Amino acid sequence: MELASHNQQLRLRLMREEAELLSSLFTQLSLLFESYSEDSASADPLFAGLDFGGSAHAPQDPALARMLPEFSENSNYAQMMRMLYENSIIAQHRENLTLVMEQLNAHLFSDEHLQANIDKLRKDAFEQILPNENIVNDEALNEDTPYVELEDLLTAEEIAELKEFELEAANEDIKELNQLMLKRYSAKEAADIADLIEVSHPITLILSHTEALIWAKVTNMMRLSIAERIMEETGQELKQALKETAEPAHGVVFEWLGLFIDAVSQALISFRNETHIVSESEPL
Amino acid sequence: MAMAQVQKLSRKRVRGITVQNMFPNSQEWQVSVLNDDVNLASFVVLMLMRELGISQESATCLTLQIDELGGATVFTGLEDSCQALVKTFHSYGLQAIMEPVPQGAN
Repeated sequence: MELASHNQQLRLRLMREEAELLSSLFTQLSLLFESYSEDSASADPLFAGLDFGGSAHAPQDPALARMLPEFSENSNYAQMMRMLYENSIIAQHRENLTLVMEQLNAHLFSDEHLQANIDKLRKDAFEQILPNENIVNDEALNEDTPYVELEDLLTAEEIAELKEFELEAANEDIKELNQLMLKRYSAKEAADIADLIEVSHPITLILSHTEALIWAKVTNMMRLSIAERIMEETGQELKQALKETAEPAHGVVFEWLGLFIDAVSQALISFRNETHIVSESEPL
Repeated sequence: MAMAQVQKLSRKRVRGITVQNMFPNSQEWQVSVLNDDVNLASFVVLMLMRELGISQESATCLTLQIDELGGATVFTGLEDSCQALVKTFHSYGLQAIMEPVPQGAN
């Protein structure tokens, strides 16, 4: 994942795996809202489709309860407010989710985009192995995998091993890259790194500031519900729960979403500082 | 930053406008944002800046106050404006509540 400022907009680059993970997380969240609004929908079809009304009690699911909190400490007043506004808050959450999912899925599932990326990656791979262009003829480029020529020599298991080895090597490259990013580097190194990111992060989203805010909102929702799930599972406070959870992957996703939200928030704050002049003496 | 200083700053912000001056017979309400351990400080600062139209410094003060005291009053006004604001805060995933301003608080 890479986030950069780009002509008054934010440019978000994602690896394919990251984009797929986000997409499936968003789908889960949207299903959660959908099932809840079906359960709590008014029996009267006239009111069912309106962004108005709500249920009388807080949701049982702690993740949903976190996303639809109480309006007040006074339970009567909180119930009244929930019955008035709950559906409109759900509608807003779902609207935000839809926008984000549309943007992401348009990139994930477009055939042209996918094919172009595969071609580019394959071409780059060949150029790195064989710097001399003359050796790579057109036929070789059109083959399905770079392993075709080896198939006669090696068994299927050996080829699988080879692929696994390459995957490990790629992972190590990424680790090295992360360490490189931490220290200062020269202009040429920076350009090389930028090129590498461009190849390894094929999905590029250009977000306006409003869209970036909606992305932050939705990923924050996602993060809240993951936190509730982890706490529910272990029955501990968040910090302890993150250590004890049976599925450390959830913790990793939680931290990763945190980094993303933090980066987007910092970017939007600095943008706001540049463009909005706030007078402290003015009333709210 | 000293806590007294934080409170003084936020009080100045909150008391910028009083409902009592404009509508003497109406009840004044206040919106508080509560602390939780999931939402990030930078996200809360951004939200306060956008929704209350305050500077980064004031928003950071309020966020510090929320973090250290468990909650902070960020807005005082008519019941309807408070409802709208709480609804907006909830759409960000923050824990916000509203209550009538206690008598004699001024």
